Amino acid sequence: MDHEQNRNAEAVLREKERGLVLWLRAHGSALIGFSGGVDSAYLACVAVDALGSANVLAVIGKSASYPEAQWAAARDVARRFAVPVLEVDTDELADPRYAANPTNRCYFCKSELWSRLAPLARDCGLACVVDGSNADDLSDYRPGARAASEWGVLSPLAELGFTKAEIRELSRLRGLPTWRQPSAPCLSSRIPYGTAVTPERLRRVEAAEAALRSLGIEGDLRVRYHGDLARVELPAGDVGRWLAPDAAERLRAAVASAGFSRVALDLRGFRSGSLNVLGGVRTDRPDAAPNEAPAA
Amino acid sequence: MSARSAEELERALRELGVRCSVEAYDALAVAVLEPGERRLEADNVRRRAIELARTHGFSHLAVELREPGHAPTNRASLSRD
Repeated sequence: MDHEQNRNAEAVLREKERGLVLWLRAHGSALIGFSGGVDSAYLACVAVDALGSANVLAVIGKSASYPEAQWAAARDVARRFAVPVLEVDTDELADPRYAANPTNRCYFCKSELWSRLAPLARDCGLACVVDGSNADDLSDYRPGARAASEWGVLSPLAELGFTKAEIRELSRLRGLPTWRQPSAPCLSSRIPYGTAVTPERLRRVEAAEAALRSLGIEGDLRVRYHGDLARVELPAGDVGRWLAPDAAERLRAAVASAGFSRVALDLRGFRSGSLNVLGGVRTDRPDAAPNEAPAA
Repeated sequence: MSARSAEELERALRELGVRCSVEAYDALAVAVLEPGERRLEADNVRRRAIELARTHGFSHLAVELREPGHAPTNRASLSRD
């Protein structure tokens, strides 16, 4: 893309952002479900610019399924960009319907989250509750969206057609550190449907992923829980070199240190919603290039 | 896509030149490579192996990383609730 095309593309994005500012100002104030991920961080920063920090509250729902590293990133973004933030403990694992890990698990998690945040918004006099769902999310299997709808949560990024790629680019233009941050969905997404979600399993997955990061692996990675076996998904371009004997042993030892007795490397690499395919709730796309999906 | 078969996938992978055994866990196939087997480090071989897995009914193909000199593990340990 040449310089002129770049400028045109940037102008289109800026115009889209102006639409978001107008949307927010039309509502006047907002409580934002804030994970510190790419989408909600961008939304929170635009909201503070558009409404002023007195009219914005970003709320982190903290639970065992929320990665510690993500919590730290959320706090960092809030501090650096003057986003008012509040932490609320949520306890979706106490709900047996969630812990049983059905295919609509996310519905119960989001119901727990929004059932706490919606009354909080009313108590704080905030006009609406918003989340960071984007336009790409609409094409994936996301039962949590139903809970959001039931609680009247609005999704301006999705409503205004912001794709993940656009949000990343706009974040980059704003200087947000999240612009190239790998997505970090809740840790329960590493456990196959039908396998119970427990704090101990979540901790093992989180520790294994942290151990992989300590090897210097960047980009999207997942450790999928299959009982004693951990199935590792790495960025597709990295898979070959991690199969070499020395590298493979370092990878195995790192994951084993988190308590897995068997470690396997997925040959296709990271796939967003991989367990949706394995669980049969989403069809695989044979023609899809590995790692092409917007990270989620 | 044919019916899911670890045996047939194992045979197909061996025809590709990849010496391994294959274990099936629902739609996940886990290949256990024979000592010294390194063909899957090559992109084209890996791509073909993934295609073969899909052809034989598996949405995922993974290679177990074995500790050097480690004895075979108990295959019954891959459990679900």
